[in-house]
Amino acid sequence: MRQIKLLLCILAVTGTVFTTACKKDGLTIRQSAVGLTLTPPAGLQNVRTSNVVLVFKESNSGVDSTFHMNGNTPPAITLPDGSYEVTLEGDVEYELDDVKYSRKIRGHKQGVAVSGGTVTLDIPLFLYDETAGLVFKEIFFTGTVTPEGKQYNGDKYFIIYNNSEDTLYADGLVIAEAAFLSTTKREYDPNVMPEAFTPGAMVMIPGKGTEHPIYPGKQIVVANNAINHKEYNPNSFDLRKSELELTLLGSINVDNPEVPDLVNMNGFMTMHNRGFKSYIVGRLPEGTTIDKYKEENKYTYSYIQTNGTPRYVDGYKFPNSWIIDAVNLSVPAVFEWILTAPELDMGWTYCGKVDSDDGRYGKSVRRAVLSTNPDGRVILKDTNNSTKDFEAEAKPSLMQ
Amino acid sequence: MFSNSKRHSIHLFFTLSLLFIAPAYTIAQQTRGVLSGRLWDKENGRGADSILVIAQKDSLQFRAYSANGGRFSFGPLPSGTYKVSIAGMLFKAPVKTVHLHKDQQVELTVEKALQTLQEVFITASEARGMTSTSVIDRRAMQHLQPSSFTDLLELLPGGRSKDPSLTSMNRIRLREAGAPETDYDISSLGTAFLVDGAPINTTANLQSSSVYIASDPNQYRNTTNRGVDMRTLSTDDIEKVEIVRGIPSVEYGDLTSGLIKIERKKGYTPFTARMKTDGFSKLFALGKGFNVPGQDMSVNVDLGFLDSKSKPTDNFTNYKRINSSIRAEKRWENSYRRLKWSGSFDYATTVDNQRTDPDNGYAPVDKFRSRFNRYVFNTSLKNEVTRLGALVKSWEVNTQVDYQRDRMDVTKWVQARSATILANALTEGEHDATFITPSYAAELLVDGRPLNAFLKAKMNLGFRTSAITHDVKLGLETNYSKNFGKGQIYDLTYPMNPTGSARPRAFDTIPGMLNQSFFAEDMMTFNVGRHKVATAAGLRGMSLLAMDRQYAIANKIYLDPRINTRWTLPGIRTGQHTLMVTLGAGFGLHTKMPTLDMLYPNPKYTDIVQLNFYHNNPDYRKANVATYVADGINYHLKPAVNRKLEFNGDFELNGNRLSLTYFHEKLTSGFRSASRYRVLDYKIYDNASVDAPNLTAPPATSDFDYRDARQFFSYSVTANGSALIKEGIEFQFVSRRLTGINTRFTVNGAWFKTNYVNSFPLYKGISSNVIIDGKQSQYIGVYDYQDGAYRGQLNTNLTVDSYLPVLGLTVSASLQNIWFRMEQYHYNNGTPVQYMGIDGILHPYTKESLEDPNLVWLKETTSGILFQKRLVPIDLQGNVKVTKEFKKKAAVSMFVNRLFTYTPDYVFNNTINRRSGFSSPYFGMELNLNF
Repeated sequence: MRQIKLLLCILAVTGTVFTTACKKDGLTIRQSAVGLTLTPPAGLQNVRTSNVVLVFKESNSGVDSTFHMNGNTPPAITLPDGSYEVTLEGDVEYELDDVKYSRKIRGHKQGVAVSGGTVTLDIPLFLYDETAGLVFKEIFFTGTVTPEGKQYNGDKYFIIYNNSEDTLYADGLVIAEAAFLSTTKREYDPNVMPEAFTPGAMVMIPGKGTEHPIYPGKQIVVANNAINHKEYNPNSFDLRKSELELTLLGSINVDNPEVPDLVNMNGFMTMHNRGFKSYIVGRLPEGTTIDKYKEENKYTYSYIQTNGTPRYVDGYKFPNSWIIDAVNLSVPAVFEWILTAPELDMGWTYCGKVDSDDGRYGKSVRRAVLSTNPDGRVILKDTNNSTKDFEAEAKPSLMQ
Repeated sequence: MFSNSKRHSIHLFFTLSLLFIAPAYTIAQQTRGVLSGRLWDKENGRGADSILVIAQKDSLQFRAYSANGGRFSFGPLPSGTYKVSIAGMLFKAPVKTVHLHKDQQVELTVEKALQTLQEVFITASEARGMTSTSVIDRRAMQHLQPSSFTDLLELLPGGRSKDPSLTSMNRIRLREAGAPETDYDISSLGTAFLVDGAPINTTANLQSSSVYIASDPNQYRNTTNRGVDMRTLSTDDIEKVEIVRGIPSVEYGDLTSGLIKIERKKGYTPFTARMKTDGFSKLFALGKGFNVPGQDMSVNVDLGFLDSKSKPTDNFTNYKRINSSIRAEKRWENSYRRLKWSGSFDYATTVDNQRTDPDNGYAPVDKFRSRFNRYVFNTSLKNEVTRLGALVKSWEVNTQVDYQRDRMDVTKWVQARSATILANALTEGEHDATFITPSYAAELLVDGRPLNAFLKAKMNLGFRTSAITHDVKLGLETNYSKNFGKGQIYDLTYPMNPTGSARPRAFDTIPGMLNQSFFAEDMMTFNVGRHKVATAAGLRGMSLLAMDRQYAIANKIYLDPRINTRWTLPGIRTGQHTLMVTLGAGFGLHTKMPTLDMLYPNPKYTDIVQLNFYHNNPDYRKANVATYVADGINYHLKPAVNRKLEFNGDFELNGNRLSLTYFHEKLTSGFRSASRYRVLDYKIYDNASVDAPNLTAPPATSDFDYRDARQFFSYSVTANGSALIKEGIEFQFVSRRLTGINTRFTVNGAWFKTNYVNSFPLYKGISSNVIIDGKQSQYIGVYDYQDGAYRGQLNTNLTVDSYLPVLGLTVSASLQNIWFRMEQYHYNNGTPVQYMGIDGILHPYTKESLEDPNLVWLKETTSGILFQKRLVPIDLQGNVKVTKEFKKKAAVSMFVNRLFTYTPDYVFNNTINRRSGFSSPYFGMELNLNF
């Protein structure tokens, strides 16, 4: 008995020694001062910001540090060392051509390293409009699985929703998938992301301007194949009622004669089923044909592969100013960066928490509801931040 | 009948016998029996001559010498109990006790008493022949502990130890730097493997499933057009391997890169058992060689089993191999000839199994199994004329028939990814089509039955003209290959790859291939003063007979002239020792014929969907497909020809030897798959031309309006477009064994520079992203740049081995170092020289083309950095092997490869390439038993 007590004593003493040692280590968290500069959008005069909320999110710990700022002088900020994602929201007043405007302003910067005592940080600000018209209501990119666990692809779809009070027309809308991957960050040269999106597959909704109306609070479904998928996979659903369908390659280009097809501008919109790519919806300017667009916006970018060899790729630019809505997609475990300028979408959403997650099938990303008007019209949340605007891993709305 | 010298030796024998027997004769008065018998050499199963045999009875000792064929006789001896033994330094034999009371025969098996230490090599040794050749013997193999033939290649100059990869095809690449690329399979296809003189012929191997399955599980196991899969070759029945890296004699043909001569164990061996295990595999081998008593005949039996998996942790993918072999050899000998007959039967089977990882497929159904069964009958007859002065020194006839039963069974759960059109018409034209069944278990059987027959007859002549000794070889070789298999068999309604464009083909519809060759070589040796010169000059002709005249290759004779010469200088005294120098040079052409699959490729199908009317009412659905068939035959295909040039130097001083070889090999006609483009016309039916919502009956295809369309489609053919230019220096230094610790130092290595080039202009279709007026593939570009790269490396392997016979211990450590690896792509500016539009007319690609929004896509962007030389620095690894023998009855060996490594990170284009810390050691051990 005495021996056991002695043993316990020794254990207790060692335990104390170790815990003390741990505490000592924990005490030395380094802090750095952050010198902040905010650069207003170019061309605006007499810019005055107010009610600015700055959120520093430490990427490893997920801890948010929030700072408030009134007026144009940034607050004194001291943060524990780490890697931060900075988001900024606030009000702005400015003058343009002698007219005063009151708008919302935002800023976003990712991968900010805070270490070494003092850090200077410059955040470019941009304006944003809460009352956009057409938005992606839902993107179902994962497909379904059969009872045997095999992938099924034909039932993917986009839903485009009219979030405004006016009737809008889908004619000429361009849906594009990113050429880059949100799971592989690369230094692309040239980096066009601040002014343009780099699409891979691009499709266009046909029509002369008023063939595909979308009434306020209504939607159109753009299906991969507008057929009854239950014939092929009991776990899938019927897409015969879709408004439009994609044109795919060769033998899987199944065409329902009663559903109009989209026009392929570039490649085939097969949709990345792990959700590594972002999507945009936009419109070519009045009078710009597909051929003219391609002629004027082809560019060649390069990046350095991991072994040091550069790789050159031909692609297109899709200017940010033509983009109506954008949704970044990624996977939490392997996310590296967003593929749009932050003013288009400063967040991202997902289906599946790790790469190739089997749990992602049969799930979609759906935009959250902001409010419902007295007339029953649903207003969807569109703050150009998909992290907040979208419900990740949601049940597809067309799945019965 | 006796020749002069024969008579001499017999005289001598009798005189000597009398000398010893006569005294005994006088002492023993009562003669009761004649004691006689034979000595057998354990190693080769032949009679052992010129050995002193002693019969001891108490204090009486009788002696006799063994004569030709190992026969000896003591003549009549007094009856009693004798102990019969042999005396001599070089041989030993167990003592036999004989109770002599009448005439009696005794058989004794003798074996070499001790291999002299200097003869013990655990590395490859450089042969002293006419061209650069590495020789690997039993002891080296035993110390190396191989799982398959692949592992032996570590011992070649430029070789390096590698972990076995037994679940994919193991290809040989001699004298090459750099990784294999599919278009340079001529390396392995052009290396001939000969087992006991007969080739392993892979010409009729068609066992492929590549276009039949979407992600082909056989992809890395496919051996079609790639030569011998070395993982199928067990090493346990091998006595010796000669790897001819240089210019082989014209006796050997249908090869470009090199020649592997495998000689299997013959004659008496103890019963041997071997068990090897490592992280990937388990290997068991049994072997025994018998001498048939009283007959000059031996029988050898070998049995081997290997069970391996792709990763120590992966049970889903595995490979099994069973080898069995029975070989007999019988000799007849008289005073003017030695006749030898050998016959063998081999059976080997290998099984590749792959169950689907439940994470990636549908486990209850998906499976892959590929089995090869090979039966080989070989027989040869060799007659050596021992009569002095005969013109014909020997003749030999060797025949072999080998038959394979290859079966690949694949089952896969196929799920339509969406409604999918089933295009399965077997004829060209427009066909209405259906949609595939939503999901089904698809089955594919690939049935291959290659049969190869081989016949070779050879005659050696010997004569002298003035001071020159001629050894002339004349011979004929016939190889016939045909595949009697039923090919890819599956239900056309349930294809494994519904979106692919494959159709089944029966292999037995493909004609057989008859490859006939002849050869003649004269080896001349003469002395100029104290200089000795040997030159072998020969010519081989090879032809494919009975082929369709459309083929350029048909009925043409391809000639391979080859010459090798060796000049041995008189010894140069340096201090106490003599420096021996031999210089050599060689030049030759080497021709490899295409395989059956290259000459008679699978027809290429192109299916173009013209109508896809997927009505909501299943009864009204309609699909139409235009099917085109291209035979895919390249009638201009020629054999691949390699031109080799080499210089050798061999220096020997006091048992230390340095061998150097410089070689240059130029092969510009290697086989590759080249793209061919053709414009195909098709219709695009307009779904809107039928009033879909108000249909009351199924529409006919003719009810639809259509417009005509055309686009480029590509298919591939085999062409002589791969150039493989190899240059390098091979070196090997072998020290003598230092006395005391019996340690030998071996440094071997090589500097290789290999140029891989596509020697044809390139045709490339425009990016599929480019859609012109709703249509793809409206342009192709013609590029005249040389697509390829230089690759180089310098390596040295330092092996230190100690052979301690007293302790029965062999220890070796090797430091294998690649000093650098180099890679440099050939420059191109990425601009096509011409382009072709859908009209089929070639236009020059000009500055204006670069302005065209579509044509600009044909221009590839390049930059200087792409063509910069990439130097990968040092890559060092240390390996240790130990063998401990217990009274020659058992031996335990173990090895650790990559006990330590040094691979520093390096920078290329400001990017750090991390290499360190990624390797774990590979180790294993084995037990050998001898009874």
